[in-house]
Amino acid sequence: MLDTTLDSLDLRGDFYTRNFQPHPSENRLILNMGPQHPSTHGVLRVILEIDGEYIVRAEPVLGYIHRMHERMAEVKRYEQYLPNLGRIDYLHALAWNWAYVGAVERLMGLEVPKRAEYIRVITCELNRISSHLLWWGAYLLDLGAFTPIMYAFADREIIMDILQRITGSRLTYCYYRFGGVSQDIDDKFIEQTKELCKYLRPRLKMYKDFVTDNIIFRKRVEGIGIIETEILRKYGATGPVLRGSGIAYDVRKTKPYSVYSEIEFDVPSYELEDAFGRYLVRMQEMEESLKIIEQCLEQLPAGDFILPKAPKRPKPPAGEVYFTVEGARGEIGVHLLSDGSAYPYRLKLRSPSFSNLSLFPEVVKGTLLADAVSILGSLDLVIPEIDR
Amino acid sequence: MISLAQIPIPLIKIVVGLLGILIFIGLNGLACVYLERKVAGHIQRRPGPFEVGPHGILQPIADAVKLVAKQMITPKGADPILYWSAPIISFAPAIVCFLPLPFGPSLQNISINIGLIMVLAFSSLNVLALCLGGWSSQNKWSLLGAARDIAQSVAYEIPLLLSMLPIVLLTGSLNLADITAYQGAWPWQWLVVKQPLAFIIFFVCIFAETNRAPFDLPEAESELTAGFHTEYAGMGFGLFFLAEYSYMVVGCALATILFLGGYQGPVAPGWWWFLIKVYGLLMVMIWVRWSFPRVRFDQLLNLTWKWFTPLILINILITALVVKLI
Amino acid sequence: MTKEGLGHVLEVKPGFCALLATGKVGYKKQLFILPDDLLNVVKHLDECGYALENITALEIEEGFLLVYHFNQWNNGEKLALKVLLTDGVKEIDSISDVYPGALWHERECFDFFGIVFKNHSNLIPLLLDPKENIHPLLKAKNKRQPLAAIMPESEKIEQYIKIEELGK
Repeated sequence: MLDTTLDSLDLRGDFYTRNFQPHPSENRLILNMGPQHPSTHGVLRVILEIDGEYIVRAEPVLGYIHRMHERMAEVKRYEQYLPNLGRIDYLHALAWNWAYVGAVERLMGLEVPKRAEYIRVITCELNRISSHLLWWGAYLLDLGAFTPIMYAFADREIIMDILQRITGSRLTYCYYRFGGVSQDIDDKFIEQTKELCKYLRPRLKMYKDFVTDNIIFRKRVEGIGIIETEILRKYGATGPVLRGSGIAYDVRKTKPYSVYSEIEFDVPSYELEDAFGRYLVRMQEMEESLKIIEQCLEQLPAGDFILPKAPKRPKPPAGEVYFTVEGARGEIGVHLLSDGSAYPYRLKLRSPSFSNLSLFPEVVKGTLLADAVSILGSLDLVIPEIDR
Repeated sequence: MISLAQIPIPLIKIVVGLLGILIFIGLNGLACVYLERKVAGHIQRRPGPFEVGPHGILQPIADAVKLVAKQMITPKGADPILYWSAPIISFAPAIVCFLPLPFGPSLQNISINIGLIMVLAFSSLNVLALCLGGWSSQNKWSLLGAARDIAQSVAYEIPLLLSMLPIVLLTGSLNLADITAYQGAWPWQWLVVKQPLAFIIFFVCIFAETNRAPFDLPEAESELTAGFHTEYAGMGFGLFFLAEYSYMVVGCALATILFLGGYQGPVAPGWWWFLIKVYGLLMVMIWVRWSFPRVRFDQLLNLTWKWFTPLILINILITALVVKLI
Repeated sequence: MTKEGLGHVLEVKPGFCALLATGKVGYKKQLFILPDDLLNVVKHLDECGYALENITALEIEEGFLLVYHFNQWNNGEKLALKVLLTDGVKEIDSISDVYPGALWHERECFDFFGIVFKNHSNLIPLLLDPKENIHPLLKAKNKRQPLAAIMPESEKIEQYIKIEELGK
């Protein structure tokens, strides 16, 4: 048992703990979950005030992987900043690539060739599937099932192999360029992707049979972490967190960018408002992504993969632009201000996980510790994206 | 000078038996580690350990050497006596639990008429060890793990004990050898046929007793980091680990003796039948661990209190009536 | 302090907001308001069902420009609210009472720029070390640009709207 008379230990914790709980409490326990806790995935830290195993209050502490990407943008040329984007959200790196490239293109008025747009959609959706697969495995790991993550990684491996041939990297992609992509896709890529679609469909069905319909799993997610619409609105949640509460807001559909308006796909949404709703949204999104990829491969036009006259070292005109795309975790926004020089004047990265996590203290109140893990997992957080 | 003949025979038997049990526990630990890792590997579409020895057969030994060689750390502020006694308290009773188990027709260390109660009494000591370990670690996660373990043990011990009562009523004995002898060689003569519900409840409670997934709540890796043994390193952790596997074997052995006919088999009854059944059940436990998510704490309590306890009470009542009437 | 190149945005009167041209920026609407009107406007936006998307700040020659991004889910139409802090003022009302999601965004702005948000319940550094008092996104004096240079749209005011009529 904790011995409060021990002077050698500063039992009152560090700055954040003391700020959270200035005075020691008699019957409440202050618990530090993270930054090395197994289910905070990386370096998130949550300070919890618990009564028994019930959570009275929670506060996430951020900044353990903060790299000041926004400052880096101001001291790097536009094209030098491109590799940074893959490091913000390492799971859906291409969406961040796209948000930044798209913002610069809009500022400069660059018209991206049709083929390049299709390539972008295909690769971005492949990346989305791999991101969701990893989330799926990691979420079940949080819930105590060890095996699914191995299956998820095996499937993810195929996607990474496909993307590796084209983009040159496996995780932190830097593939999109101003006005197109860095390299054209070839027949082998198309063939591999088609095979992947054929392979993944029965796999997803198997996952549904084994995991989604499992009674223990259902009991762990159904009715857990109910997020009402009002909270979502006030905290600015987006992505599957939003759609799991029945609001079918998806940038790809609501405000289509690129060629998404030419592709038929559904935006899954469930009015369950709980962790299970968010789970179902992601599982179905993978199937929708497969649908998108197949359509794109069919419609893939010939032409340039990058605008021939696109500047390699752009110098956009002065002005402001706010460009959003739909990432695996929600709406990714790049707010870019240019003063006409080769360096951005100010770049703000609006990360979806940031907003999604900020509602966590609200949702987790009064739940059990085990549920907090389940809720945290269902938000699908990528910590580098929150800390930037 | 005492001559060898002066030493009472039962004492020699117990000492030899204890030695044998210790060897068995050690070997069983190695076998279980290998089995667990291999089975888990194949369930997860990977080969499992493969580097140390052919097909990784020497991996458990490498693991053991690593554990023994590791420094044993006492956390600052922990109570050293309680802290280091916990793993020993966890492991020591496991040895005693093996004493009354009839491995074969003539392979029983001590045949006493309260064998079943003895096993239960000593296996329950594990809870105390976990509680002490969690309490004295000066770690909040350990404390939570210990608290969970206590609440959990109150919940599962009752249906666990009650699920054995029908067997005792049927056989009229607490001696495990008698219970084995009551059953026949063929599967339909085993007590699992007469008491299927009791067997299921008993086996599920064994999962809780041994803190195995899906009831590994005191450890709950993704919730409580490692629960009660968060702070233990080296052989402190090793003993907890060994104790867990020993209790798994004790649990499976009890299930075998009570419900699956013990060492009896259709052909050539003997200890091999006993081991086959025990390790078959162990495989099921490993299989379950790597296939299911963890239940939540209150769900386990609900299951044991609201479902198992009433169900097994009804089961006992019916059994008692049947025994009385026939 | 000079008001050259500032455009007309400073001529916004209390109780009014200036509707700026959006051009290709990517908003449906962008409004320029005075710092004192912020809470009032945000309350109106809350009633209209806007979701808070983002809060960002930047340092310019005139002072600090705060940009609040709001979003509507049914049509994805974005609204930007721009507030300029001039004359060395580094304080503004917190909107966290209306939108609790602003708590973290405001803490981030406090981290990066040192802007103090009044009535913020927990204004401690979010991402940076609480022991160091560094505001990394502040610009050197010679690097700062005037508002008109980075937001040419701010020159074109389409109309002035009364705050009460914002919802229409």
